[in-house]
Parts: sequence; structure tokens; C-alpha cells
Amino acid sequence: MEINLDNYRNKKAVIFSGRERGRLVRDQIGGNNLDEADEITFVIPDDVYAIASSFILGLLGQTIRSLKNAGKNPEDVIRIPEGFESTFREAFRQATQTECLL
Amino acid sequence: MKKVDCKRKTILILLAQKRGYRNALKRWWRRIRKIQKVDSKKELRNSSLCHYYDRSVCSMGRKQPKNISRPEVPQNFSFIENCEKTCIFLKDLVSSVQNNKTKKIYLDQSKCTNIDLCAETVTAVLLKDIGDNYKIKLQGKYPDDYELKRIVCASGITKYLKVVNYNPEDMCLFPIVKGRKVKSQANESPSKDIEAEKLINYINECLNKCGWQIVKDSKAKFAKAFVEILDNAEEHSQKINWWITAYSKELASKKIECHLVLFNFGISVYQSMQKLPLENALRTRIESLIKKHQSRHFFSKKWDDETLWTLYSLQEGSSRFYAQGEENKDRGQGLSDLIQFFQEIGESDDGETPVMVMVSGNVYIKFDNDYKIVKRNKNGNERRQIAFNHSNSLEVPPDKNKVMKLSSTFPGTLYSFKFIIDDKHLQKLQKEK
Repeated sequence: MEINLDNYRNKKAVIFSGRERGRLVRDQIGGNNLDEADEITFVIPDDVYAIASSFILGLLGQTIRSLKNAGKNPEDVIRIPEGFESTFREAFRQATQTECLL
Repeated sequence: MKKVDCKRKTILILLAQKRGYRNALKRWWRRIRKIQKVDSKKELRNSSLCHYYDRSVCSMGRKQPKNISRPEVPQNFSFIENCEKTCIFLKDLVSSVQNNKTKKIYLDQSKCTNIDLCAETVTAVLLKDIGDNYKIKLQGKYPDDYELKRIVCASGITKYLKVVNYNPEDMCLFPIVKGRKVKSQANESPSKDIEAEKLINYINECLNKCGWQIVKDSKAKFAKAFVEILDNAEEHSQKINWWITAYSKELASKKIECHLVLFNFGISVYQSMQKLPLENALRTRIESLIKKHQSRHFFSKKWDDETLWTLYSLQEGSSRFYAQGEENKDRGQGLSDLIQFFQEIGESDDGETPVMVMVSGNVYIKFDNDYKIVKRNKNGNERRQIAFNHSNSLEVPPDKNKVMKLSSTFPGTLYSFKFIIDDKHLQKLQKEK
């Protein structure tokens, strides 16, 4: 399954953020399709330089948790786009946290 | 002479009385509805900023109404260095508007020895609201200090209210932007993303002046930090607007001081966290920590449960959306991301460290790299934690100079960043790399 972020932005907008917006994109794609996909790839326009982890958590949080629960490594299914490795890995870590330190 | 039917007369009197009661009842009901309308939360949400501000801080006492109000501008007019007195000034400013007697507000900044962008911006926004909603004349006096006067002209109240149009070469302003929450749409970027991008381009311009350029990685870090703040403002504050502004000033050749301010009015972090359900696990944990602080007699005038709640809300995973279910376990990342980003901003060559201040409700928190946010492990989960003490433990009070309770209130949340872009320091870093 391919997610082309160019379809989900205004012209010239170069930042993707917000859990709520991530969820809206997820709803438009179909959350179940994402959870059942064998492979998820991204097409990211060249000028986009920031994807906040909140957006990734809204878009893929549920999918990451489903993969983790099924004993799979999210990175084997969700192909991390080049240049966004740290953001995606951080979102993978955040999505699977179960304990609060307090 | 007409003969009066007594029985009919009694009926007529009874009917008139009934009508009278009914009308009186209607009048009473109308009055009650009117009062309810004024007091309702919805009405308050839609009212002017000053009205909201005043309502949020009115418990702190109000001065006698006068024709000309002269709220006292503190000498050190700064949220970073003199937050307490700055909040008192703002309270006096808005409370003077809330009576019909005031015809003029006079702001005398002549004795100011320091004015920072955050204090000036919040005042400018409130004065704009006064100008738009009240028939009150605004007057003032510039600081006696020539340099401060230039700063106020270039970036302060008079600039925002379009009294002057002063654009000196050694200063560069990112004009105050008032943004608002709009209904999210999947294929449309919200205004916070667009404004954050403009702010990053502005920082890039500042770097260009020193002969540097912001790289993609750093751009992304700045972007994520700014949108997280604006996201929090939209999601938690219950008010729809937020403001951003920035200002830079050349201190020497290829050395620039940058100051960024992002703020919103609305409920504070503490008030937002109070929405955690009573039986929620996170609430139980925070309350047990509060009991520990109480039993050890840690609480004082400057350190209480409100300050504790706010400090705990900075820890990764703390969120009012925290729930037992899996779905919300990944909430509460934004502030940790922001603090981590701030720690990565560089110093200047002469050791001037960057400063970030967060003011929310009655709580003031200052980040200046003395205490770091670090990852800690609990049951195989890595979470970031900052406690503002040397043991980085939430069970002991934080450094009282970094986290403190204010006796005055800021009805909202404000973030202020101040850092130096120094060519010498950046060159040194590059050589080290």
C-alpha cells in the first residue's frame, strides 16, 4: 500500500503535524486497509522536511500496535522513507509504550 | 348610575392579578435567562480577550475605577526575568477596562530598564483587543533608554497598533501572527503548519545574516517543536486562538540574538490535567506523589500541588488523555519533544546559554540546560523525564529557581525562547565535527 502525502496537503505546505489530522488521513485511506497491508510505503514530496511524530501516531499508531501485538517488527511492514528515519523510529517507540514513569 | 356586578368585579380582579403574576414571572424568567447567558461558559468563550483575562484573574482583587488608568509597568518588563510583576501589570491593565469609568489607559514605560518580546507582545495583543472592543483611548510614554525605545518601536506595542513603522537594519521582526483552530481536513494543511514554516524561514534568514543556513534536519526539529506547542494550544486550552512572533537583533558582527514567543489564552496546563477522570491510573499516581511531598513537608508558598501537577505534565506519557486502554498510551509526547529540542540548541562562544520559559496559570518553569531531560527505563519502556533536581527524581522538589509558583496568574500558556546565533561558536562546532 502506498501513501502519497502530496494528496493530503495544501500546495507548498511542507510540514505534516497533528494527531487529529493523521487520524483523518487514516480514515480516508481506510484504517483496516493499513492494519492488513503487507507493506506500507510512502511517497513524500521533495519539499516536505518535517513530519511530526503526532501525525505519524495518528496515522499509524493503531497499525504499529497491531503489528507489535502480532509479534511483528513494524519496520518490516512500514517502509521508513529516506530522511525521516529518526522521526518514524521515535514514533514506533512512542506508539508501543505501555508504562508511564510516574 | 350603573349597577356593578360584584361577582364579575371579583373575577376581573382575579384575572388581572393572574395576568400580573404571569407578567412578573415572565420578567423574572427573562432576567434569570439574561444572567445565565452572561455567565455561561459559551458566552465567556466568545467574549473579548480582556473580559476573559479579567474573569480568570479577578479573584486577585481589583483597583478602584478611575477615569485615567495608569497600570504600573514594571522596570524589568519581562516574563523571563520578572514574571510575577509582569503578570500583576497585565492583571491591572485588563481589570481597568472592566469598568465603565475608564476613558483612557496610560502606559508609562519611561523607567523600564529591560523590556522583552513576550511581555511586550502579550500587552500589545491585549491593547489591540481593548482598541477593538472598548471605547478607551490608549496613550503611553516610550522608555527613556534609547536602545529600549528602538526595540519597542521596532517590535513592540506601537508597531503592532500601527502607531509607528520603524524597521531598523540591525533588527528583524517576525510580525505577530494570530492563528486560530479550524476544523481539520485530511487534504488541507492547517494554519499552524503554514505559520510554523514561515517562522522557520525567518530563523533561516537570521542565520543567513551570519553566513549560515539551517539544514533540513534542524528545520524539521524546529518545525516539530513549534507545531507541538500550537497543537497543545488548540487541543487543550479551550480557546481557539494562538499568537506567535519573533524578533532578532544584531549584537555584534555575525552574532544575533533571537527571541521567539508562542502563547495562547485559555485554561492552564494544570487545569487541563484536572480533567483526568478520578479513577484514572495516572491521576492516582500523581496524587500519591503529591501525598509523598505533603508528608515530607516539601510544600511551601513557591511549591504546591498546582506546580507539581504542571511539572509532572512535562514528563513523557503524561497527558489528560492518558487512559487505561492501549490507544491513548502514546499521548503526552509533545512537551518532551519540545524540551529535548531545546536542549539541542547551541550556546554562544562566550558561554551564553539559550533560555526557554514556560508560564502556565500560576506556574513558571525556566529551562536553561542546567537540568536535562533523560530517558529512563521502567518495565522495558523508555520514557523521558526531567525533574529539575540533581537526582532527576520526581519524589523530591525541583530547583526553586527553575520551577516556581506565581502569586499572580497568566490565564493561558506562554513559551518564550531566547538564544544566540554566533558565527564563532557555529564554526567551532563545525571544526569539532
